[in-house]
Amino acid sequence: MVFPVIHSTLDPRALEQELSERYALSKPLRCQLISRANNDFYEVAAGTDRYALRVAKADFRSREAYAFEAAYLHHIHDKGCRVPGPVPAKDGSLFFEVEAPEGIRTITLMHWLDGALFTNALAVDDARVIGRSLAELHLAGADFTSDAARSISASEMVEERMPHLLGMLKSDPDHHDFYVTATKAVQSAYADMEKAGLPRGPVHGDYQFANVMRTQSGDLAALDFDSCGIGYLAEDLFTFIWRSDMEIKDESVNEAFISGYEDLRPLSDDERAYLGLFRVARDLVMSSTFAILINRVGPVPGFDGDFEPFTALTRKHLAAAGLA
Amino acid sequence: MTFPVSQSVLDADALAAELKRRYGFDGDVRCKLLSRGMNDIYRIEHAGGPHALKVSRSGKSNDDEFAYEQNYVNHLSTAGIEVPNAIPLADGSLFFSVEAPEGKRQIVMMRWLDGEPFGITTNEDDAHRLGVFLAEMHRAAANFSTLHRKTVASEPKLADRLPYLLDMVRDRPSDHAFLERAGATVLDRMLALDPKAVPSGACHGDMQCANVMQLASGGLAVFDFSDCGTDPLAKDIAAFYWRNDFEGRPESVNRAFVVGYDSARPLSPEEKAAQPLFRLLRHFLITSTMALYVNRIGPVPGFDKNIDFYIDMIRRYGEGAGIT
Repeated sequence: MVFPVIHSTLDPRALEQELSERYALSKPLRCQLISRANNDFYEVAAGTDRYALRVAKADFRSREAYAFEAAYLHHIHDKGCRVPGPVPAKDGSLFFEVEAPEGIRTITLMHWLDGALFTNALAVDDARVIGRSLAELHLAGADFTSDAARSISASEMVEERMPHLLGMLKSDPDHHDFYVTATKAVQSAYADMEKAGLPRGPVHGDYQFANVMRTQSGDLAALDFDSCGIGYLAEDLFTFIWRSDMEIKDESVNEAFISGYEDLRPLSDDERAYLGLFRVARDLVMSSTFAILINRVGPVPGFDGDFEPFTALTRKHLAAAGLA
Repeated sequence: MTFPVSQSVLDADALAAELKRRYGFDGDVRCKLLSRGMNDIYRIEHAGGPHALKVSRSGKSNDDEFAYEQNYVNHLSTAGIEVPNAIPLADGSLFFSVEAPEGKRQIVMMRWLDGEPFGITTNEDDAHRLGVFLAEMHRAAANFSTLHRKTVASEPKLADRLPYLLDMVRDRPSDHAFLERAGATVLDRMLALDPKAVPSGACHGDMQCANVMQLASGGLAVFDFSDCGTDPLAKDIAAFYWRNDFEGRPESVNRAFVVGYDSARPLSPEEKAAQPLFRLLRHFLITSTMALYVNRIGPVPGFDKNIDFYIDMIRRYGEGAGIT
């Protein structure tokens, strides 16, 4: 009997064979694994063309969610946004599925983007253009429609993921009880916020600096739309700010980011009223997400089980949002 | 049909249940993935204290070779060397195997070592201690005998893996020609060594400083015996050189290591004369192995984008061995 596994690495030679059958690609075709994490990425060289191949984690999202992501990327790529748009297969489909030992894995062949990803050394001016770039994505997605539904909400993510974090904190009652209390306060505030009718639309869902690239032409490109969906546009800002809070720790970077965003899409007063809530909600989402990842794909860099930096940030933002 | 895979991560909960059954543990058993690489390493928590669990990469060793490794490690432990010796299963055997999607994987539960591996700050005093320690290991293993067989097999491994490195430099004729010529010369010179003047015995196979730990008690412990086997004893020194060269430590650190080794097990003139050849072989083997793993296991940080650095080292230590 085959032992149960939680993750596998697909054989690159078998992937080359699969791609050559499904796509009209130049020869020779070569597939090389370039990163292995939540999703696995391969660089595909087909003649002189280059592509990125994403092999999603098994059973991570529904087929409908992948269909939404592919259609959304296709839409904004067509509108001129610099994103890894999906390459249509010979039959017109934008992704396919294979059965891996741990379950169904969804595979998307995407256009290759060449450039340098931003790091935590980014300057205030960088933050401003990154903010503008997010607003461009939101505006380009405004007329996007899809048969596939995919709604994302920090509140739902917290509800789903927080039990994993609480499970890990069983032997640390102080942290455990804090997260229970914080989760209740945030969930209650979200219920009120949802009555305010804030603008919604397609959002990136993980617009942290490491998912933004400056291309060789100087433009910005956005990568990793794995978490995209229909959500609150203003909530999307805090996917950037969470990573900035954790690693850059300079409020002027966050301010420049929001200011850059507002150059193209000014926030309404109603949206502004809930920025504090969105910030602390993102803290809870990320802490609970990391707790899940640790046992699924191995150690998470910078997250060795010491919750204090996460908790300190959450406490601060909970108080700033008036929820402490 | 299940898609072909090159590697998998075993389910931690299924592993915990398997350990409970096979080792006859009472109470809860928890299994946490610590690192993924050539082997996967888990920390096991149970009433009998923490242990380390190594899940070997499929195809790395056959059962006979894996048994040699466990017998060798347990021999060293009995001789007073601090090592992660295998904990016997309820039936007395030292390891078991499971069928993973990519093939059979051997699993050994080991003593947990608490300490700090040597790293970038390794200095001459440390190196001298480590050299003495390696010589003591070699002396402790002088009476090691086992029915199982395992060789370090650097030469056949280099012969197998060199084509992957040559393929990576296929567009660089000068490097390609040098590596092809130098690789063949290294293998010829290894064959020409006199086994009486350069004696063989049980070797660690990867005695780099990062595989030696400073224990809290003040002593030294050595771990990661995956590459152990019978080999020329003096060749076991070369792994230390490689890591030092890779991390840019001065030659005086290597000299201190050899002086330390020589003080506890004097090297013959032939063993000393062969050191440049062993050093070159080590560089060659590591670089060729990385070229192989880039596609089979996944990315090797710092390797595939920095191959010039590795080839420069092969050229530099080729000169030291008279191979240009």
